[in-house]
Amino acid sequence: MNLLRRFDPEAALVPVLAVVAAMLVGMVLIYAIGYDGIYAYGSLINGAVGSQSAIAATMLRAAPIILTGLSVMIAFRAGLFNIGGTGQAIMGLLVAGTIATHFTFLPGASHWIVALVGAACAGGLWGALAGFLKVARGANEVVVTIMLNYVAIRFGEYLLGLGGPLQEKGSDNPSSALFADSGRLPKIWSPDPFTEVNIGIIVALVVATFAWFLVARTSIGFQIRAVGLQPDAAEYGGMSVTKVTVIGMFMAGAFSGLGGAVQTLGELDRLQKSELSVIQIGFAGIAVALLGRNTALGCVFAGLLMGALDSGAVGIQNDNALPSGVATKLIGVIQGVIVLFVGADVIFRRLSARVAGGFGKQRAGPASGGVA
Amino acid sequence: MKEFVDVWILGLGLATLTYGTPLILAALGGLFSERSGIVNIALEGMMTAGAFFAIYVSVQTNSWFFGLIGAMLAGMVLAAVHAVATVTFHADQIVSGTAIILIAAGLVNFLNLTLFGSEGSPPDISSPWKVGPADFRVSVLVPLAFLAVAGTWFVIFRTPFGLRLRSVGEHPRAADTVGIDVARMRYTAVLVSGALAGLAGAFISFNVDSYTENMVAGNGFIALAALIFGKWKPVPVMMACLLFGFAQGLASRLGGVGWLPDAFQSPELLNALPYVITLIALAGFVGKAVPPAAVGKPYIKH
Repeated sequence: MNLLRRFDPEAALVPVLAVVAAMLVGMVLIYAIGYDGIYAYGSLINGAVGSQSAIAATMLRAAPIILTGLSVMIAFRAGLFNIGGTGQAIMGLLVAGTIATHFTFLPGASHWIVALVGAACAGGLWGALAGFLKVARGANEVVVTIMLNYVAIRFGEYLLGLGGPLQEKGSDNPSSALFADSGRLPKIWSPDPFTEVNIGIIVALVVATFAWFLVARTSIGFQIRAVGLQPDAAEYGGMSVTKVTVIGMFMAGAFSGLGGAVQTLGELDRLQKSELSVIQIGFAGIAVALLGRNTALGCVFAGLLMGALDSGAVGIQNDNALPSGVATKLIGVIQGVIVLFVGADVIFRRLSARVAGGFGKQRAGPASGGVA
Repeated sequence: MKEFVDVWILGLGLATLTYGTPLILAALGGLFSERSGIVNIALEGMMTAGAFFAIYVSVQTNSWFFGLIGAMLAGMVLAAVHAVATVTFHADQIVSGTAIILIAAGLVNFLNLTLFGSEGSPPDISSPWKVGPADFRVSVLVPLAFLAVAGTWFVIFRTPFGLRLRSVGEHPRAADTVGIDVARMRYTAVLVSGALAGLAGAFISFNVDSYTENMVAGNGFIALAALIFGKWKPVPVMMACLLFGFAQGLASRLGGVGWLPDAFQSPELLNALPYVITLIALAGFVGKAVPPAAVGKPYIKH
């Protein structure tokens, strides 16, 4: 799973081409169902970056996706595929929401900060569980993290369901009591009365910096990279693959847990059962990590792009450029096509080799043996 | 006594078959693919496509048989994408699989909204025959799934095709050297897995005669777990699927049992049970699972 790590200029072009190709696929789909693709994409761009409010909405939506992207990224670096972002985010947001609702004794800003820390720990433990099951029991982390996603969703639905421990007492709704104001994320920018950017985007940037520092400048980061590249050699060199796998999955889970908390404490005023089964940020994180070429900075840019697509879908909705509900499905397809093209980047490498000309002979072989 | 037999023998048996059959079909699909050296985590997406197109084609043609064909073709189209990406372009198999899951979920729900609208499919549709005695009627796909187990065993272990398939999954270089077309074998295997996964999805939607979003609900991944649990062998894989099907059947039945404590009555926690049992099976009892040696690695011809 040592994909896409070494930098080369050609590789930097791949994400751009993948996004363009995916947008074209989306355009074809829109025309196929008899709607105006140009008009719909106009609405999308307008909804993503067309005004201060649109930019604010993009930043709001990007924050949790950057965090789940960093989660997938750090696991990739340790040679692990973390499809468990959804479950880790849910464990995080359940803990964050509970702290935000009930821990009202915490003074001032410490309230939301503690809520985020709690979320990171909860998500981290959920991720570490998958890492532990892999190294201790040989359980495949892809299947395990997906099963843990479903367990987390059902567990959260039980907690918030009617009569569940976290459901608001005396209410008929499957949701928790309101978060305390001090438990919600503070606002940093509000271009209009309906749009507010909270500190979540700053949290995401701080965590991205931390993730970069961790991977590039610390001993554990070096071990993560070594184990990701060559587990046997790392073991021979005295590192513990077991320790690195569990720590790597803890970090991955912690980032996703933060993602869930940032989304919930930033966009909702209480925990809601119905939100749990529709959480998309875990899978979006995979697209972000791949598109960002498994670097922290790349995840920030890719996360902003995914956030823009998300708020662009709202723009399409508001302009009635597509039937109700269709825009979000379309964004899902576009994300999937992006992942496919970034994954099968040889397509573009061959293409660019042909365009560049003259390199045909050298390029005839599989250009990116590194994908294996 | 009659009631006990009805609820806990016939009822649970029927539920085990209802939940187990799509797992068997999908896991056999995974078996073909992984035996050839290609991981197919996109079973889930192919099942989703199968579930939708079974209903859509059945409504359009008023024939469940064409519905099944449509489901298999839909699964095969996605499988073809997976094969092109992984066999021809050497894409990472997990990444390609993830992409197909995302594309299938988005595209199918996109089509569901545009073709059926928010009301969903019409209530009366042509649905597969039911077979069996009066109080144990099952879809004709159930006996078909068990036939598929026997057929898969025969094809994999008793035919030249099966031998080539296994050799390509264990040691593609050696297979190539003796003249086996590795890419062609892998394409065939992945397409077969798409057809079987499409059929599995069709079973799920025909079971309730409609398509709803997220109705496959992780069963594609449970089938993958069953594949590992059954160590890539058809009959043990079938047993694993029946075990996981039994867990889902049990979960669907425990809710009405008066003497169980409250937490066991919670429908949400009961719904988590199949996933927990899958986890325990994977982590606890699987022993040393040795996949086909070349699984997950692209084969690059010199």
